[in-house]
Amino acid sequence: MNDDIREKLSAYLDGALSDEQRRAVEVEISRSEETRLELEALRAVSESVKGLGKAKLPEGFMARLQARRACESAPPRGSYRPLALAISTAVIALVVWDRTRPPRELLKPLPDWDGGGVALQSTAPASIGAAGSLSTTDAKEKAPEGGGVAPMRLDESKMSKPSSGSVPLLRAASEESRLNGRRRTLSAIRGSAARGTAAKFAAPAALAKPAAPAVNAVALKSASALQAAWTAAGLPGKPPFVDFSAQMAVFLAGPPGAGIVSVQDHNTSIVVLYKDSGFADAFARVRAVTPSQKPLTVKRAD
Amino acid sequence: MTSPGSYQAVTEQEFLEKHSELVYNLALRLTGNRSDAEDLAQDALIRALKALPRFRGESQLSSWAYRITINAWKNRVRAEKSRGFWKTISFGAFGGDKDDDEPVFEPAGKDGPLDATLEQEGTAAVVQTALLKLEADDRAIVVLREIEERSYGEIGEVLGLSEGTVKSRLFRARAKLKTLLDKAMR
Repeated sequence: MNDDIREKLSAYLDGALSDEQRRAVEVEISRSEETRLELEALRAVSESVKGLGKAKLPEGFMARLQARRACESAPPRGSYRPLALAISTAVIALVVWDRTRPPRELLKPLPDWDGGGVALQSTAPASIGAAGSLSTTDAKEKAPEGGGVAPMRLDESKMSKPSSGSVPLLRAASEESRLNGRRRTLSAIRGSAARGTAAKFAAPAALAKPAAPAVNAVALKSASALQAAWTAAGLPGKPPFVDFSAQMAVFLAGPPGAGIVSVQDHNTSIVVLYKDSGFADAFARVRAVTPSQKPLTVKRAD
Repeated sequence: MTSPGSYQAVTEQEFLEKHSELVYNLALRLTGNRSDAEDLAQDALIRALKALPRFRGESQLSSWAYRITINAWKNRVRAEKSRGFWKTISFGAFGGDKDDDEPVFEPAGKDGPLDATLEQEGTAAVVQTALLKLEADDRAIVVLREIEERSYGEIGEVLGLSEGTVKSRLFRARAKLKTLLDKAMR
């Protein structure tokens, strides 16, 4: 039996043949036992699939559908925006800190110092040591004959040329990329040396103290977003409970010890007053407030 | 088919009342398990509700709902395939045999074959398992014809195929099912 006849048998089962085709198939069935058996086999297959029947909707299907629909109709970016803000704040803080922190190599005494050049006398070697690598002990060990502190030298190949007659004795950072980020610091040192005999070298503020990390606040409207921000800020455990059915959370991203002093609902914005130290409890970073679409304004409390 | 000019819009509630079960049943036979079926049906219904305001009666509402369901299912199958998360379906009902010349794969289901719990050795499980071995379009054609009792014309409308194509593919799908069932019952 060829496939053309078998295909017609399949359509015959479904009543999908023209009258002429149907009569031709019926003649064939009455004449051929093989065709009749094939028809019965196809009918059995059809009946077995029909026998699977129809199912009722599972219990709670419509409620789950409505819940999912409500969830999917929420703004798609809503749940990610606070996390993205927290991460970007952390990245910015890291970059600022990296570009302003004291370059350790800059202050390292030269092991092969030969006593030449102009000695720089540090007025606060200990404070430099806190950020760099120079300590009073180190200075004494490297001190040239006649007293004074250890001289340091700038690697001139990696710096713009200093004024004549005032060669600084500091060695610059070895990697070019790191040097770029510290150009302002080097300029300050070089300028100090150029102005006079460079008899004194006080550590610039940027060397002694890293810039304060950025502080930011975000409004979060779900527990998952709050947990994500909490985790992204490196805080341990779980954030405090906030009833998101009636409230939203204001989360403060900032240095350790930072906390929210108050949250004030002003006409055009929600003002978040904070202090960047003094809070031992990380829960101070979170405030539950009445939900609002107003932007947040972050201010340091006086 | 409804004339676009005479189409009377239905509310979301009316649409859900009339078509939710229909969509769920189609999803159930396409996926082969209740968990995936519910997920697919909800996905399809949400899509349909979003598009409902733009529906102008170009086809029967049920055909339109079927088409959305089948497209959602095909998207899932494609996505699963592209991620490589395919698993060979359990062929326990077929004595562990597989057609080496035509390996049929399906996305891993969460619950196993439909009716596997109550009718592990029963006809329904065997038939459902055989159904899952058909190619996507062929499976849809068989389900729409045998279970939903749609005409060739309606099936063609849902799947974007001519009636002739539906007729020949339905025949091929039945022939393949026959082979699979013979093998399983042997």
